[in-house]
Amino acid sequence: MSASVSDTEILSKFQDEKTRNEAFNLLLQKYQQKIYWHVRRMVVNHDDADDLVQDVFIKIWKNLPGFRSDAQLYTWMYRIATNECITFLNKKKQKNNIPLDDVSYELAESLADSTYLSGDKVQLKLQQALVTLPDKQRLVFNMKYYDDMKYEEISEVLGTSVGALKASFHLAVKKIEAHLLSHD
Amino acid sequence: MEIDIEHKEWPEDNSWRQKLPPGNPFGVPAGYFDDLSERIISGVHFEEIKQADALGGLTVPENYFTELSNNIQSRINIEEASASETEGFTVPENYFKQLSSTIQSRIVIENALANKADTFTVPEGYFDNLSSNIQSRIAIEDALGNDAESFTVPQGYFDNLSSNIQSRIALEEALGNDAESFTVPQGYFEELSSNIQSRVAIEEALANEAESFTVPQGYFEELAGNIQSRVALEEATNAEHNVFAVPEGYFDQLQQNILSHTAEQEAKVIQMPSRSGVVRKLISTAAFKYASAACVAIIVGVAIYVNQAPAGSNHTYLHKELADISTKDLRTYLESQSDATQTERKVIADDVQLDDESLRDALQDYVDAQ
Repeated sequence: MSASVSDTEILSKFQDEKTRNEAFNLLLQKYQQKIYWHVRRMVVNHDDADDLVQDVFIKIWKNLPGFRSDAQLYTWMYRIATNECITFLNKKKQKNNIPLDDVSYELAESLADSTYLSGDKVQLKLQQALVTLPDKQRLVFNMKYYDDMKYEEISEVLGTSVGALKASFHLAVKKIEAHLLSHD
Repeated sequence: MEIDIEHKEWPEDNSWRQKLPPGNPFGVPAGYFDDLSERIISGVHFEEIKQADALGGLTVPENYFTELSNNIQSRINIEEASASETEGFTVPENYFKQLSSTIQSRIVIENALANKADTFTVPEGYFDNLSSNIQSRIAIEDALGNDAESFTVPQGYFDNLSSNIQSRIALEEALGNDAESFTVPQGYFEELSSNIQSRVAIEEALANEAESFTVPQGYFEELAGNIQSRVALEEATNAEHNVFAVPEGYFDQLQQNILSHTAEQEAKVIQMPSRSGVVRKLISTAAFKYASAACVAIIVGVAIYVNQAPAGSNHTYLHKELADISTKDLRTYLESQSDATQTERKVIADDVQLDDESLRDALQDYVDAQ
């Protein structure tokens, strides 16, 4: 039911204080899992993802009154979630004195230690390959491969040109392919 | 969101994608999504409460908001600097968590200083170095505490230390001012080393020649007496004095006479010093000295005696006594004392007439010859 509610309807209900909470509930029902998986695929650890998801929706609640309809709602929400993930990963690197472009070791550790990890061997291998990618490349690949987003939509989320995104995606594919073949 | 089936953005060769199973390996706790929305809504309400009561029941330090913008800007600059560093730049653990409290403390201190600027001042940069100074002091006192048994100072040492240092400074200044009281000749220090070396060479030479030059034992003690004796002798033998006269050719025979008199005494050889300057050790004993003095006395006595004898006199005491003795007594005496053959030879040699008068004349000649 909630999946059929349009973004326009949600935004209009949110503008009214009487229906604001209802609108927000509808928003949550429609996008909470998408936002969660988007975050989870980036930070790997469930507890970290849980904290970040709550932070993301709190920010959405605070900033939704100022949202302009010049962009799609879900790309706007994805942008907030992406920024929160990048901020979280950067903080983690700073805390552990890790170079900012090298978080793969930490994520690999999270993959190994994650309690909530299932799936077959190939899926695990893919995740292991993904954590070796830089954050931006990983984001592009996740949104393209798992969410099937168009380059224009990804461009709205990341603020990067379509051409750069295509190049980044192709590079990520090459790296993953090489990783999967080398670890066969 | 509808999935766009006609993907023209994928690589042409994406066969590997079809090998991958759909979905992802990540799992979630059971019922996680059922209460996720409730938890999110609770978080949102909590945020609302915080915003609504932000000013109620809670206070902020004085002038907090006036300084807040500067603090935030500083925080932003720090985080931007940290984020822009690609590798190797980190901050200490919990730095940012403590930064705000550190800044607030600094603000309080500076406010206090500003209020009391006329009364209390501190050196420039004092607070910047204060923490490091305190830590150094703590380290020192810890070390002192551990070495309490090894390193001690006299009681009251540190109390008197400043006055001692000042006295020392005054003393050294006074010494510096007195530098003009003590002077050295010009070029003294430049020549000092060569002078010392020369002195050392001389002393070494003297030490090596210590055995070349020696004097007899007690020589210097008797030297004065010897000189005086020599002076008396020289005066006594001085021709101008002219008290004693000696026979002609007397001194030519003198050495022979002296040697014949001193032949029995212990003879000592005196070597004259060689040209190289080495003086042989004189063998001088008391006997030699006495012999020398005796020789001198004999010479003087003979000289006196010779001078006192009347010239051309033949009547000695012996002649006088012999004139009173009879011829018979003389004959008896000569026969008992002299060898008969000796007399016979003389008579035969001299063709002496054996009568009384001839005999008396012969005896007279004999006595004169003695």
